[in-house]
Amino acid sequence: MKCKKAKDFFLDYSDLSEVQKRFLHEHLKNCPECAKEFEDYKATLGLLQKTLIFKPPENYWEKFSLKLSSYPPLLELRNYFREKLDFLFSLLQTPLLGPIPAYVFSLLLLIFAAFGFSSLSKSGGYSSRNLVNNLIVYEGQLLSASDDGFMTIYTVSLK
Amino acid sequence: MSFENLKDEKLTRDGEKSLAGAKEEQELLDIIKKAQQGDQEAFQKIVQKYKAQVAGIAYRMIGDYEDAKDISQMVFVKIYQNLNRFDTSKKLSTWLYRITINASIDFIRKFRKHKFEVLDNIIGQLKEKKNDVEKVYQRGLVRLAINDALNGLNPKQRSVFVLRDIEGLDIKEVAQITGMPQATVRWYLHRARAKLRDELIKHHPNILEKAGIKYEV
Repeated sequence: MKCKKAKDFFLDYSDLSEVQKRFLHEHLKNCPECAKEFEDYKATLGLLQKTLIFKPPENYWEKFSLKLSSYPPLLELRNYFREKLDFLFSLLQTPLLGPIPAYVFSLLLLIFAAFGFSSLSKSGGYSSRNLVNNLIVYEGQLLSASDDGFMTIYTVSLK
Repeated sequence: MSFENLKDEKLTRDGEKSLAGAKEEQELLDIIKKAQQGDQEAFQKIVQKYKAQVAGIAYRMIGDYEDAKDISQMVFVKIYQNLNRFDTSKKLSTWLYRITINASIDFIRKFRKHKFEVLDNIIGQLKEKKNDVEKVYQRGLVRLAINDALNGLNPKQRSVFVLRDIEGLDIKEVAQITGMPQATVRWYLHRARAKLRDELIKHHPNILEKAGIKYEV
């Protein structure tokens, strides 16, 4: 085993397999430099563990209070909003006139509106029939008339 | 705590699990179920049982006792709000650790600032005049070096290092808590240990002497 591999190994010492540990120890026996570094590393880890011991001051937990009533569980909040939403939907379904519920009215309103729009768009445009009605052909015969918005094109055959 | 101690601790923990563990687990399950039904007293029992562990992890992640307390309060509020979602077939501690680690990482990202706790400690100890000035000063330097080294780790490296090498959890548990595959946890651990070694041994070669640690090779 080379020193570089050994240094990688002792970093992960606690997670090494038995075979890997044996290989490492064999190398450490023959390499005092790595053995010194391994001991240094172990001692440093020990120092880190010692430094990070959680030893809170005596009155540490005195001000630790949870006012749980101001934090309702999220499930309760969700139920609260669901109830509100259900109430709104029930308003839509209550009958305004006799037995006909409100959503039927809104549906009818939508249908009428759709009809209204379609009739508007029809009256605004030109149909080829209108174009032909306003045209007098003296000699020849009108074959077709079309309007693309900018100009009207008549196709006429001569006698 | 050394490698051997870590191993011993794990063995004792396994032993305890098999004996008194089953009864204790059942009791805890009952408490959780009560708390899930809205029993605030039962929830306070959970808080009492786990508050030191939660604050401990937050402290190791952040390095400040007061911030650790704030984080643990936030963690327990979050637990209380989401307790109905908790799957009782899983371990509560894993869920708690996960929320604590995530809250700590959020905190580090939001309020990355210098901590003056070390200096305050030194001044406080000097005022007490109980300790030798030179000793206190050396201890402060060691603490500063360690803080620097730990701050050099990114949040993921720090969390796996804290969970594995300080808390002594096994790789599988760390993977569950952090939501990373085991191989990734191993990689982050390796990087974290290498960084700490480089920072502490190479940049502060006398740190062990200053800390008063002596050993024989």
